[in-house]
Amino acid sequence: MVAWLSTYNAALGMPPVSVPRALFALAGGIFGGAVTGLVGWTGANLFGY
Amino acid sequence: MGKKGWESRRSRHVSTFIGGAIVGSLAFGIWPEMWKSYGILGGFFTAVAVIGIMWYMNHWLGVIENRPGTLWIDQGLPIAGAGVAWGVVRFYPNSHWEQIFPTLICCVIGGLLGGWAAHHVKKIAPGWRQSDQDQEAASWSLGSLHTTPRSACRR
Repeated sequence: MVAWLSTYNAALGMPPVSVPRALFALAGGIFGGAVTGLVGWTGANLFGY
Repeated sequence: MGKKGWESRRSRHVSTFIGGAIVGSLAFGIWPEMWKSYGILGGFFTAVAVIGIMWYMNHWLGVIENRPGTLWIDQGLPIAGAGVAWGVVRFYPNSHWEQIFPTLICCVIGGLLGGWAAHHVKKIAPGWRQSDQDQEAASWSLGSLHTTPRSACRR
């Protein structure tokens, strides 16, 4: 999806991606996913869910 | 750039981070459980509920920053990061993260081809292009405060 949108927008002649904005979005996703994964791991391995 | 401008940019980056964290967390916190509990229908329902609400929050309300005229940053980017991070942490020590690369490369190639195809379809179909221009004009004429033109929201 990211590749789709990047190609699509680049093909339309839009300016290059804002790297800090992309990095903050990606970092936010990694943080959110890691926290959610930690909750799941804790439930599965410490509490037996 | 003045202090105020830098603080504004910083707050937009923090907002983008939070928007990415929320969408990544919700996608992988709710989706697998719904799918496990209710099967394919649960997956479809979660797609509508989670992605719909998150789309409204991140793109219509503008929690993920998307200024007009700049390259679009979609929820797909934080969700992709969240998926990898969630899988690595959730299934530790059996994550085997190095095995993602064949799938990842195929997904990127497929996405690139899809973007190329969409661009060329729009290029050869004037009706679609006209529709986009109308929406863009309507969006600007409303004097919208949103960070994204309406046509971008509907993609």
